[in-house]
Order: sequence, then structure tokens, then C-alpha cells
Amino acid sequence: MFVLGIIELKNVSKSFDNKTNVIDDLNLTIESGEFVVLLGPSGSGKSTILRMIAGLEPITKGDLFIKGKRQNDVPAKDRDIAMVFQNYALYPHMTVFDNIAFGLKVRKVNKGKIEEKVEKVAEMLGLTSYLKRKPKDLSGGQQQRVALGRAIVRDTDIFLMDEPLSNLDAKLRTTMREELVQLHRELSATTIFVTHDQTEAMTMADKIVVINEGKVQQIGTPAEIYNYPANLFVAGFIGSPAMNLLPLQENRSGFAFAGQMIQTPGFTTQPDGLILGIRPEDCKISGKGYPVKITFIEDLGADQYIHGISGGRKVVIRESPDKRFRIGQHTFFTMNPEKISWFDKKTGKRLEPADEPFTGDELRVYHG
Amino acid sequence: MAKREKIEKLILFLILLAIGLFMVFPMVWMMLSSLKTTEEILGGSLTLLPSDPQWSNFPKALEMAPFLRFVWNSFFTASVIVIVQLFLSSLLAYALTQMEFKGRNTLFMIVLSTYMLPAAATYVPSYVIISRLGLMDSLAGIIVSNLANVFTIFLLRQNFLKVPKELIEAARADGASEWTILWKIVAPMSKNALINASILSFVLNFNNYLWPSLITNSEENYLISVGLNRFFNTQGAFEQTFPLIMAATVISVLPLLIIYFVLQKYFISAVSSSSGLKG
Repeated sequence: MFVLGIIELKNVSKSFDNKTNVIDDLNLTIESGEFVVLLGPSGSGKSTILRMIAGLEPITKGDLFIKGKRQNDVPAKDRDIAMVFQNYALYPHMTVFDNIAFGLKVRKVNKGKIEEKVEKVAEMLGLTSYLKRKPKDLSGGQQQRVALGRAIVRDTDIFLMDEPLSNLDAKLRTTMREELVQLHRELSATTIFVTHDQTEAMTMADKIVVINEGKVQQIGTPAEIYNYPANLFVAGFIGSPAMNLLPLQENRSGFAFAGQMIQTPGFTTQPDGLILGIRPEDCKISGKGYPVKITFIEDLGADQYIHGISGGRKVVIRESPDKRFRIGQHTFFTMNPEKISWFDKKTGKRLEPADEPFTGDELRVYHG
Repeated sequence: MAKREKIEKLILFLILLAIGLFMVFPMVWMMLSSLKTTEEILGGSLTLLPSDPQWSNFPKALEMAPFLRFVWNSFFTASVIVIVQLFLSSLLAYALTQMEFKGRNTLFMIVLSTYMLPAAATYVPSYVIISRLGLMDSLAGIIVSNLANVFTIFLLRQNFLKVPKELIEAARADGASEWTILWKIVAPMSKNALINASILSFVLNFNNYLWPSLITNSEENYLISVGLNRFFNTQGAFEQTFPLIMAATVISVLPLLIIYFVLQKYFISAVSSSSGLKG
């Protein structure tokens, strides 16, 4: 069955100066009820996309459809979208009650109904005893809840959230993350969540859209993005510590790394130079394999990350904490061949082994 | 170190006190003189306090001319001007700060540039306009010709700029119209600026003299400043009526004094917010 997305961006471009495109020819379909995370480094244009959907930023080129209707020229106030801002954007002169009620008041909802709804939302967010306070008398977490309340009370089916957790401290951020996921489950509203924090993206998203320099790099579930990065940017951006990306030397008989020949599969397209990608957890220190000199050990309690130099390249290897290593030690490491990602050195794109045909149904990998 | 600072503070305090006394002296002199006799004021020996307070100067002054009417005229025109001016200036300042349109900055520059014109240069064209509108010699004429005030527009614009952009956007996403955003978000958040602007504008219009004196002829339309002038300075018997002039002047400043005491804290911020801008 062909389902039209609740939000569709078709060939959308955005330029602030009519010269360079901050967003370049973007195509994105968001389905009803999804929790979609737009993930990218700062300046990647992810917030701009959100603001275009909200109607706060005009679209330079292309079309935006919400529920099948073109929205380019519909002002923000008529789009019936609820938005949560990074700095919460609470009205400082209004009480918590009035802040939450504002969206209903401007829509001329009758007073009794407003009271009923605000109280229900306040209860849901644990704000009941704060309704008469002003925003400045609340903690960061409470302010965040008010901002959410203002969005929830509107009963709209589209939520836009622009880095709503980035101003909270680490602990509160974890709690709010859970609460947001819980909330999404209860309300099942389509949510677009912008963040530069990959942990937020991995833990909350049904679907992650990785964005860099105004272009979609990859769209997929957190697992797809993590295990099958579509290009070098995604491979390097997702995961902490990042994936080891090791350029291979090409010689007459094949490809080599650190003086060792590496068995490469046949590829569907002929690569122009090869980069091997392997995550730290898929490497093991061993008596054989690729030589590595340990330069630094990061002990995190549950794991330890062994940083070293191999073949003139920095590598990171995750090891169990009970093993003992020392800085300066010369040893070897192996890689799990099944977990290796291959990238074309020239284009930076992921290469698919020819013998294991890649099934497009499972993965929606966008080669941007 | 601390001692030196204390001494410096003391010196500064004394200097400010001296300047303060110097500034307030005419006011005190006026009030005391309103209770003196002509002889006491103009006689050879200078006395500070009236030997026998002449309270009757006040009813006498009120008999000479309808000063209460003049005070009312001033109060009424200044109040209407302030209300309408604030309303109109808010609209323009909002458009200049929160709405995107072509020529927005140019419009602001044009508005600002009129501030550089000396007021006297606008009198002749304004006079013609007021007379064409048929508003000569009327309070309406005084009101209409003072509705636009560049300074108020400027002050409000600067303060509307301080409202975080995210709040405006949040309100738009909440479904608020521009009109609602202006009156429910921007104006309440700029409350102090609005109060400051109204105080400055009220004082200016209450004390306005030259322009009202040009366009009003009949006594019933005199503002207090005009009335005081017409009834004393232009009369020959200036000396005899000196205490009465003082009494009338005291009556004329009373409304401002009352407003000053009520809104004291705003007055201070109003003046400091306009410093460096008012020449």
C-alpha cells in the first residue's frame, strides 16, 4: 500500500543570501506517528529544515506538504503545528498556567475547556503545583516541561522540537529523554526532533535523518545508521568513540593495511581507492594480526578503550576491563571481518560487496 | 585604599548635592514666593521664607484667569496624545522590529531623519496642514499635530528589539496573529519602556508652549503654559502680580509633581533611557 507521508519535503532548497544553499534539494518523507530525529553537527541546516516545516522560515525552492496540502505560503500560525524551542521560549510575564493556555486562548477555546485541558496536561507533566508561578521561578527541567505542556495542550498531531534537551544537565537530559519517548508513545503524534547529540538520536528515534552541509547523508533506523553507515561522514559522525577509518594501500596483488594483506570482497562498483571502516568494539587485541603500539588507555569501568598507532594511523579498540595493557606496549589486533564497512576513498560512499547483494527493502540508505 | 574611596565618594556626594540644590532652588523659590507679598519679593532685602504666608494669593490668581481650565486643557491634550501616540508608535515599532518587508530599514531611517529637523522648521508646513484640516484654534489641532513622535517610536523600537526572537516565533507557532503577539507578548514585556515613553511624552506635551501658542487664539483653548504667558507677561502690571504669577505657576506644576511622586522610579529610568539621545 502506498502511504502518503504526513509531512513531505520535495526538492526543498533554502538560501539566505540567494547565492549559497544552506539546504540543497532536500527530499524527505515523514510518516504519521513517527519519531524522526534530524541529526547533524551544528550548522548542518537541521534547524533550518525544522523552521521551514514550522513556517518560521520561508522556503526558497521546492514544496512542503503537510497532510497532502502544500504549505509553502501558509503562515506559521495557521499550520497547526506545536513547536518546542531550545531555550523553551516561555513567556516571562505569564504564569505557567497562562503559558500553557496561550495557544488555546488565541484559538478562542472557551474558558472552562481551557482550564480542564491545562490541568490535565499539568498533571501529566507534574506541574500542577506550579501553575501559578512565573517561568523564572522554575528550574530548567520544570521550564522544559512547561514548554512541552504548551505543545501537548494544543492536541495537534505534529510536534517539532528544536534541541529541546540541550540546555539541561546530563542527568536531567537522560530522564527527559525517557519521558519524551513515553510521551510519544502515549500521544502518538508525529514528532520531528532536531539534535546534534547522537545519544539522543540513537535512544529516541524511530528514524534518524543524518544531515550535513544541508544535505541528507542517510535515512534509517538507529541500527541501520550505526551498522551500515552510508558514507564516510556518517561513519565518522555516529558512534563514540568513532569508527576506525583506515585507508588501504593498493598493490599488485590487492589491498594492504599496516603491511598485512587484507582480503576484500568484490564490489558492485569498482572503487577508486579503498577505506576500511571498523568500530572499536569489533576489534580485539590479540597475539597476531595487525601490529599496534598502544599510546593511551581510557578506562571507563565497564570497558576500556585502547588507543594506538597502527600502520601510521590512529586506531581505537574496545577491550574488556579485566585485561592488562600498558602504554608503549607493542602488540597486535584483529578485526571481525563480518563487521567491516568498505568505503570508496574518492567518493566517500559505502561500497556493497557483490556476493552479498544488498537488499533495498531492509535498508533505506540514501546516497546523498 | 578604602579610606581614599570613602573620601572620593564624599567629595562626589558634596558636588552632586551642590548641583542638586542649585537645580531645585528656582522651584523652591517659586513655591516660597507664591506665599509672599510683592514687596517681599521685589523689596531691597532678600528673604527666603515669607514673613506672613499669603495663602490668599492662590484664590486671587484663580480669579484673574481660568487657570484650572488651562491646566485641564494641558492635562487633557497631553493624556490623549500619550495614549494615541503610544498606540500608533507600538504598531510602527512592531512592524519595524518583527515583520519582514522590503524597505524596512529605509523606512526606519526616514522616520529617524525627521528627528534631525529643528522643530521650528516644521511649524510653517504644520500650520498649513492644521489649518487645511480645519483644526486651527482647537484642542483637537494640538492633539493631532503631536500624535507622531519620533523619539517614542525610537524608544519603543529599541525595546521591542530586546524581546527574544524565539518568543515571537513560539507565539506564531502557538497560532497567535501579529496583533495578538504585539499586545499580549511584546507590549507587556516592554512595559517599562511604554511607561517611560508615556512619562517623557506627557511631560513634553504638558509643558508644550510655542506650537500651541501659535495655533490657539481663544482663551478656552489655552494650554497652561500659554495661559500663564498671556495673562502676565503681556500685561503691563507685571510687578503688582508677581506673587500671583508664582501662585499660578505652582498650580500649573502641581499635576506634574503629583505624577512625579507616584511614578518616581519610572521617571529615573525614563530619563536615563533617553540620555545621550535627547540633545
